[in-house]
Amino acid sequence: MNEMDFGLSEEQLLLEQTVRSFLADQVPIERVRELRDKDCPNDRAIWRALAELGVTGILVPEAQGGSGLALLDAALVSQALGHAVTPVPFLASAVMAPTALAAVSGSDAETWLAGIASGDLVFGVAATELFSVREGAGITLKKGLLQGKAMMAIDACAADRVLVAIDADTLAVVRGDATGLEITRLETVDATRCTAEVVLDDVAPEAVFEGAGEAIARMLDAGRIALAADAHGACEAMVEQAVAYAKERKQFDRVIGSFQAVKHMCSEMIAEVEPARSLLWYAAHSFDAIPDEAPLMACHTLSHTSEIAREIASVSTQVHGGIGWTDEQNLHFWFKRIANARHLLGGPEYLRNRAAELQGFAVAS
Amino acid sequence: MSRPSRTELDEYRAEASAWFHENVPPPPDFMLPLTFMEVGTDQQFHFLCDWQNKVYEAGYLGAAWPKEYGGGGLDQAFQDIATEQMRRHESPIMLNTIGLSWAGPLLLDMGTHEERLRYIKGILSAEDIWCQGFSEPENGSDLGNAQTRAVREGDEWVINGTKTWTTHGTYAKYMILLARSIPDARNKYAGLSFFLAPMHVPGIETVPIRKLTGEYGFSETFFTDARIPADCLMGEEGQGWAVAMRTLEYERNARGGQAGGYSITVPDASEIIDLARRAQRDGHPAIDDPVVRDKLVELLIEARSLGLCGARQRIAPLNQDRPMSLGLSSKLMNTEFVRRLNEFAISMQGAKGAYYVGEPDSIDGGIWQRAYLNAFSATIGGGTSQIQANIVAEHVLGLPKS
Repeated sequence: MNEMDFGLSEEQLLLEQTVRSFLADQVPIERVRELRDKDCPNDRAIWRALAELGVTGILVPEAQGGSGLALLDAALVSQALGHAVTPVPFLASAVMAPTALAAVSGSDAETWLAGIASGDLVFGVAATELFSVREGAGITLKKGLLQGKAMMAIDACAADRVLVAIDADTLAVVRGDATGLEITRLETVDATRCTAEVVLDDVAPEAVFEGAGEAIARMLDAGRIALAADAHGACEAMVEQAVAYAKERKQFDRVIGSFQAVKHMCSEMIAEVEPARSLLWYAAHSFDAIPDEAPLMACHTLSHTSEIAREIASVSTQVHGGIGWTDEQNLHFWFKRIANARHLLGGPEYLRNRAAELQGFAVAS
Repeated sequence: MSRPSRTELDEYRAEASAWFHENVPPPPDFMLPLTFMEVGTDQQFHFLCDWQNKVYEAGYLGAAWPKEYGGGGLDQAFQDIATEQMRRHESPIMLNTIGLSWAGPLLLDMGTHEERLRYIKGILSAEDIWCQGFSEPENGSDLGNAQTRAVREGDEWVINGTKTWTTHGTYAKYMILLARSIPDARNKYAGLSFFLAPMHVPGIETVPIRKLTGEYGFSETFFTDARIPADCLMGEEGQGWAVAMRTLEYERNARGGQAGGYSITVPDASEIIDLARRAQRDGHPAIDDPVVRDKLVELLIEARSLGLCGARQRIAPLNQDRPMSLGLSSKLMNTEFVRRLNEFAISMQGAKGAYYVGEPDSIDGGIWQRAYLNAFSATIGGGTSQIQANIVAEHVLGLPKS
């Protein structure tokens, strides 16, 4: 089915506009630049302010004090955050954790969801081992205690809780200050996104959810779509900056945007953005409206966005010439946000292989 | 007009689906053109004329065009459904593209009541085939420099010059013609006028152009003191460039209002998957090769994202920040994509990739190879991809002219 039978409501457009204005006012690139030097770039003050706007609880059911909105709404916010390269734990705490927690039952989950919605509780998510490198990593649960290591845990640094995927069917929640838990920020190319190594040495979890396969699968799908939206927003910002620069920079007595070689670089970027955006919004829409399609669409949109994003990051930098390659010029914040997103929830090759499995082209590994 | 309800649309969809299921003709014993630019034999032409007429008579073409001129007078949503069902039931293409998709919407948009009464119905019924006289041998991408002359003599215009890449030229009854009537105008654009010109008058000769596929589909059109009535002028004299640009907006997908149906068959995702299962690579299905599979999925994703754009274009809130962007970039993206897809399809065939139409051992009768060669008509025609990239840069991104 190739139909898009949805629009964006006035409420959705208003939410997106509100978040974008807030970020423009409160988290301009100068502020991002300050935050990159902190131990963890995720800033609690910004997060609390976003909680006031309803962002932290966007996917939390209304019964737990959230807005109970759809993933399409969260994708619009994610796009805005990527556009502004804002360092906040949106991906783990507002998208992945609540998606998983809402799918498991129990009063603990409800309490945590309420904390997420209010902005008081920040969740990190450790799930990379489900789809990526496992050398020296992996977590086991023995006699009620967690042992092992998780790599590339998202937004885990200063988190109050970490949601740990022990395997494809089991989730655990641990306190950020639990005895035996060690969280170390990882040095990645992107200073605006927090990723950490989580080492658990006989840590007693607050809760373990068995039979949580569906919750974990949904969490990954939602995370992939939201991450695609973030990278997509970063792409749009890079195209905008390249175009603005091409209109202003003069060489040979004319603006470089009047040279066809430069014009074509710019138009090819925007021409890639448009279909990727159609795919992204459709994927986000499918998550709630056509859930059977969501696993495939999540793979499609993240792998496709990753591919066009790498190209756009490179072309936009090239349009800027030497200045785009400096630290001072700031363009690299977007370049690196995109570069990191490519690896966070499955690279494009992995995702295409997963898509092939889902479509019956390849035998599941 | 209020928006039709979901129920009304669903009922219409069911009716349309049943009609196309019942009426789409079985493949004839000759190869049908995949696009409107490949109609090279009388056999193909008559087959497609009859089919278009049948679809129109059933109400599934021009459904959203005004009733008084021969359309169905319905909401656009109905025509969109009819077009969707045409695709679903693998209908042959709608032949009279220049009329249905460019001249028709132009007439409804800028034409007079009389012009619409005269031309619209014939466009829909395929009784009057239309062609386009824009490109010239010496003026292709630089269309504004067109040199075909139009000189007013009494109640007539006298036309002299040469047009080329005239799709359906040998079959056409009318041509939308861009010609220079004011040679000393203040600039090259201001000297152009736009005509709805009859083709069946003395002094007009069409000569088919043989393509690299060995087939036909275009012609060169020679005007030698061809006299056409004065009232063929559309709009004012000297406004030809503006009218031509509006026409190109339809051609380049930047403006809606087309009669519906489709005139280019894009290989369906399922066909390329099917080919990947049938084509052999080292004695195994090509799809079992992880490299082929990765590329296949990549192309399927692109196909999906481009396919979704058509739907998104019709929903205003999904395009509000860059309203022109999707329409203007889609021509560039779709045409280049189709070429790449065909390249991949041929590549998968291994040694058989070298076969062409006519070789009994070829896969699918060599249709992929022929489609690949023909794909260039779309990446060059209607503005090359590079001209299209200029247009996107200038009209969407606001970059200056070169």
